[in-house]
Amino acid sequence: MFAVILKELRATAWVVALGAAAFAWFLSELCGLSGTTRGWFPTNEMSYQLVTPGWLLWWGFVSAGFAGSLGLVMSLNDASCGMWAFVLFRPISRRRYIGAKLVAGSCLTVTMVGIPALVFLWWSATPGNLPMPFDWTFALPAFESIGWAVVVFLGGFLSGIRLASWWWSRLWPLVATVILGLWFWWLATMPTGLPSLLTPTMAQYWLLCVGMAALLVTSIMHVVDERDFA
Amino acid sequence: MPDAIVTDGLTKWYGSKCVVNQLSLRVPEGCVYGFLGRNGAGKSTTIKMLTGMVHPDDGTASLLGQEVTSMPPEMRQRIAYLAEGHPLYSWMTIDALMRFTRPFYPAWNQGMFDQIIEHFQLNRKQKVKHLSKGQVAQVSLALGIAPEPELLILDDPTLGLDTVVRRDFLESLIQIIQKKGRTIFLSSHVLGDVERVADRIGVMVDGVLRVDCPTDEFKQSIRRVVLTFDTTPPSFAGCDGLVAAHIEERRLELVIVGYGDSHRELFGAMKPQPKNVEVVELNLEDAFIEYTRGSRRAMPVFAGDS
Repeated sequence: MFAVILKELRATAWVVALGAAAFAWFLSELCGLSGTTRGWFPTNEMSYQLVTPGWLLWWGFVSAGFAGSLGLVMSLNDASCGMWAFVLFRPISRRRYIGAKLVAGSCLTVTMVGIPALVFLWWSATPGNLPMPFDWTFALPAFESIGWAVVVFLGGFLSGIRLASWWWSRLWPLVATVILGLWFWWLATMPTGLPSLLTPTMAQYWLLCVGMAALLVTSIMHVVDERDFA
Repeated sequence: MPDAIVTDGLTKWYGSKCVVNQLSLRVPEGCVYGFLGRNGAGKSTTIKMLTGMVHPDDGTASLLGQEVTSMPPEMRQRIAYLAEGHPLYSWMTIDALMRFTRPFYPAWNQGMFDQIIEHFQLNRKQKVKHLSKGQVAQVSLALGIAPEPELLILDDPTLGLDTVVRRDFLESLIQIIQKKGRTIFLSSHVLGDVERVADRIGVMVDGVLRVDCPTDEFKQSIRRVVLTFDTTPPSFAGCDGLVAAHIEERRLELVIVGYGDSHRELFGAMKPQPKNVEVVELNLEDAFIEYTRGSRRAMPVFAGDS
């Protein structure tokens, strides 16, 4: 299992590198070190960074882009050039092999989304960087997006591994997890003015993430058991 | 002798097409079995069902006495499968591939792996994407053999290799066979390769196993019979074991399975009488081509006694 995890980490190194570059760019914008996005957001948002809707939405896009791509790449890597035949005949069950891939991918997602959130936290805690007193809850939505990002990773993985006639229908798990995850994360973290009945609490948001992740893992394992790797 | 591979009524449909139809096969332990057929005959699908990559729609398959659908993963330590095209991670070096594969096999024979890599003079630090097709096949063989499998399943292992590399690959394979007396199930469309190594052959035609007998028996059972006439040959109504018949000027050429006395009597009674009857022995390649060319006429050839 360790060999599979190690192999996955190496096979997806380029996705991680691209993701790291995207997060680095985003952080440099967030911390005002670069000016590419100057003028994209209202000036008053620059003071609050991650707690403002514009920046937070961008954070969501970058996280979803990374997690979804990682899921797709991880499942499609083995589909290319008949690699399933090489790996699935090893003396390890299909479920264990795929489980190892999911563990590797989930850990990468948590790390890749968590580290930029920690960097932002460290930057905002450094005196002189923010025109307001430091409050660690600034970075809370970014940390909360980890749960959603793992769900999007699993959605991407399911899209890559399931068979369907058309690409669009094949991609629906990824699309559904991005839309649902983003929506619930947004409702849970941002003041929307919606009635409280329609606004999930943080506990409900995490419960939803865990529930969706469980459903996706079950679906992935079902596909792995049932499909032909021809 | 117990059987290494047993299939019973193995069937697979892709949509409305039956690609493998009621395949029942037995490969005894220690046998080198050549599994032949034209493209699309169902060879690869059969192998994928044997290795559990594809679920059969009907029938059962077992390897080394264990049914494939319920085979515990540990059983696969005793079986090597070299898939068509030798899929290997192109971004890995030979050493990295070995490090990835080795932990799955407690009985991994590092000495044997090193020996094969040295024999083929492969650079361990080289990435798979920089290797030639022949070298990739050699690495694949080394990875397959190092766990000391009792059964090797090879899906067209010489596909895409040039003649020299193919010969080299097969000679290594023969050495390995001789060394350990393993069971080898080898699919191929290169008949010369199979002829060199296989004790027994099976021929798939349109998803149906039409031949299952010792290699020599297949060669001996198929004859091309050329009947020469003084005039245009008469139309030929057919005979037992007829695979193909065609007229060329004053010659009637027949391909017959199980040529014997009944055929000789039939030709003797023909009106007009043929001026000359020539019976031509075929090598395996010619026999296979004649046999599979007209699939509707492919007559079954099964050994009476395996």
